[in-house]
Amino acid sequence: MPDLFLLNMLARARFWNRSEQAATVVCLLFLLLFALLPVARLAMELVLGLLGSQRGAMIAALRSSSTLTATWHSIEVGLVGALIASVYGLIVASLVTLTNVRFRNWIVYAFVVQAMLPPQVVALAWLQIWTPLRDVLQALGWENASSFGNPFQGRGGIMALLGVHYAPLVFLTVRAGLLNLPAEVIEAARVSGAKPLVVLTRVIWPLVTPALAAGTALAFVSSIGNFGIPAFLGIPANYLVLPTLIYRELSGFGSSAIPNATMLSLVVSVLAGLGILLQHRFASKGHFKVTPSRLSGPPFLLHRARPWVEGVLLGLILLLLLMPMLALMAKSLRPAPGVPLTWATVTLEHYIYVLKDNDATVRAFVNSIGMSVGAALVLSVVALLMAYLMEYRRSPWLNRLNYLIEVPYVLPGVVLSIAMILLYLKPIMGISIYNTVAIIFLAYLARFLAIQLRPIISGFQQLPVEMLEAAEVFGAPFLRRLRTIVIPLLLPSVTAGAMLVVLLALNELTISALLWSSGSETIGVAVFSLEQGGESAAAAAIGIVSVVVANLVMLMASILGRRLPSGVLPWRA
Amino acid sequence: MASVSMNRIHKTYGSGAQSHHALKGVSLELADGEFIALLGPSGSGKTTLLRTIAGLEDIDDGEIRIGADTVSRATGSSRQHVPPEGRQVSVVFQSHALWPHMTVHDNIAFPLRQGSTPAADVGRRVQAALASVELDDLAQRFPSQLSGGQRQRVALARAMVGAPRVLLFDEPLASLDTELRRDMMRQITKARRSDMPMVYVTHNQEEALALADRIAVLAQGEIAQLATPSKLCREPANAMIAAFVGGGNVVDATVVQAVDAHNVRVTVRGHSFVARCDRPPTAAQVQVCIAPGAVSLSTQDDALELRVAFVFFQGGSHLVETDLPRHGRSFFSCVLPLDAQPVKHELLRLQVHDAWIIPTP
Repeated sequence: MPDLFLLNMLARARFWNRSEQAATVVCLLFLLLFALLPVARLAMELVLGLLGSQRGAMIAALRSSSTLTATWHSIEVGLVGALIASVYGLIVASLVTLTNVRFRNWIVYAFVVQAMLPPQVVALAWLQIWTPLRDVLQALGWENASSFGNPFQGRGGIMALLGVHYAPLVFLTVRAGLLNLPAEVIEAARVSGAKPLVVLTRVIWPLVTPALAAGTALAFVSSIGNFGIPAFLGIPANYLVLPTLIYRELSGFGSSAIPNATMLSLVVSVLAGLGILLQHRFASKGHFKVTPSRLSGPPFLLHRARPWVEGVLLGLILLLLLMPMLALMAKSLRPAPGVPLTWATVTLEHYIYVLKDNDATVRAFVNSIGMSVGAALVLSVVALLMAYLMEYRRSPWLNRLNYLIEVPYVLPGVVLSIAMILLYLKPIMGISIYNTVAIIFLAYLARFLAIQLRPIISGFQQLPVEMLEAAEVFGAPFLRRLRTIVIPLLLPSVTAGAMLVVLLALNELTISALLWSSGSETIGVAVFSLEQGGESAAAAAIGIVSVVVANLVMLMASILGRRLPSGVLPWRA
Repeated sequence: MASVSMNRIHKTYGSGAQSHHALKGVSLELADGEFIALLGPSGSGKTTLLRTIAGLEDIDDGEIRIGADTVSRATGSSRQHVPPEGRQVSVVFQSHALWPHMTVHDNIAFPLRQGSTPAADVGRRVQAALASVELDDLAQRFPSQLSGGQRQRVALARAMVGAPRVLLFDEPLASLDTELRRDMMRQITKARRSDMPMVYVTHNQEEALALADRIAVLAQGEIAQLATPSKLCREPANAMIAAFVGGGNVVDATVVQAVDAHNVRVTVRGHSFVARCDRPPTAAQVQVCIAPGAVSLSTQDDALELRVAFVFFQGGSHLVETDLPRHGRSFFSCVLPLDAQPVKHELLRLQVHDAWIIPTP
């Protein structure tokens, strides 16, 4: 009896309260079901396959030229993407954090919005830029412009877009590192007579190198796992990376599809795993345990250069964020390609089509909104219990399984999807959830637990433990303690986590691309299918809607963020 | 019938090489209405002991009873632990621990609302508790709108309102300045009731001496001495207590002869004086504790001659540190009147009026 075994272990873990024991069992089961089980199932498939009859097919899949090419492509776009993200993120973080540029909050927000937008929509938007750009180039006298294909398609476009898209990850880790620098370090250098550029390159940057390296490794892992950008920019040009190759294998669904995809998921996991190891190694360095005094203000005051620096930063935002979005909006408002966009021709027909007339896209909105809100609600409850038991009760079992929580989130999305397919392909106890929304919903629960948990954990860490002890001493049992003390005090953190989950689940394509079927479309799948079916304008309309929704959710979280402990929302340091 | 009784409490944190034996068989009995201070340096186990009474920590061995109820018991593999919410105890925490999302009124009403107190009584009792700490008109404020001293008073009112069986204090004055400290000490004394024992954890001897009926000095997980404040100051059980409570000087002395059963003549550097003792020492060499105030300037031939090493001007007196090494880290120190005007390197001639021979274990 596994339950008895669990309860036995718990008894030794010195829990005093039956309802807390029950909560621990719920959390442990959740972890086993959503984190351990899929990974274990995937590992089992690999081991059994390699030992059994699939061995030949799996090794052949590993050695096939398409695998080797896709692996090399993944590595090159991952490395170059991470390099671009690293340089861009470091420069912007340094300028925004260390100098007295104005519009700081707007720049930070605009910069982080990039990472919060659905990658597939960003890719779609960049694809729309070429037509107007070509016209402009031709008007400027470059006659050959039209003989080029869309330069954003293929290797270079994927690298550039991954770099821009994940630069905020580097930006945030570097900015946090810069804000954590002891002020004395900079002041000592300046008092010793060092010029600003020397202080920056000889003192400040060396000190944030671990943060920069960790952020770069994170950008690498994210680039390797990204599906949306190489799907939109790579598949048409037949430039495949591992996630898109897996997608194509599974779309074919021949007899070798599953073993091939399993083998490919091993390769992409190994690549991502290397990146994660690097990230952890760097992230554990460079923490200043004792921070005597933090920077009270920007150490470098720009004088005559300030408008120029501000101009460059705002120009980058205009160029890299607003311009593609405007192109996307233009696409969605134009009745047909080639028709000039004027006040007379502007139309909402594509919006009406995707929001009202097309059953599949309407279903996609209903599914995505329902699943993201549902996942946020379920995860809020589970994560609150988990954080309480881990942080306040120091539950030895949950704290030992801590790393499991992160696994479904850091695994590339396609790998989690394959694990879910393997797990639920056959009916369990007569119930089949394969090809339904349920399998996508379960995958969301697994993937986004870490996102929901992080802000709550930091909320607990900043809450004086005596507040909770007082509630115990003054007679409130567990559930009433949760209701009257824990939930009211942590509600901002729980809500912030829930909003991040909603945001990511609404934007998500990587998981649902492999798990969807007719009836269980998501917003991401709808954009992808419409674009692949040649209905770019309709895809653009959905893209604009989801960008607007993402910004609304972020703005709501920001308003709430004023009441949050610092560090909970990624774009508020 | 003692109203709190702790019997051979053991508590260990962690396991293996990392383990820390925080309590090593502590036994302590509190009579009804008694105020006991747990005094000791950090890491001595005093806070752990308080938390075991509250139920915030369980114990590894021993038994804790409140009134007639056993609230914690551990023997061999059997464990019994009443959770904090089932113990009817109260705690005043160091950081006040008021809930920021509740008004003062709701904070104080919280313990009452957990029980079966009728709603009409809740309001009346909250008002009475607020009145007792002289904060009648702040009921609708939130904790963030109060001063540090007011917050700690509200925390005291919250701890008293539910008529707990034991009232526990965990360094409640540590974050207050001197003026507010005095004020809270008055409030705490006022809150004493004949049927409610209090346990007060502190590392500040001034608070312990002023408030407590008895003081338990803890060191390394054990009670080193349990005594009334005056006995603790006059008759410390060992050199550590002598130095920690009252800052007494512990120095080596040679026994000359017993005067009677409780007085012995001893010499230090040729100066002879009478020291009190529990029973006459058997060894020729003893340690004596001399309070800094128990000496005065002397003109006698056999005076204790000490050279001034440092002078700390105290406003109304001088605290002088001399060249005579004492047990512990520093040197023999004494208080001299304002007109003595000691100078560094000057030779002082002193007379010892009172001393205590530290008992040998």
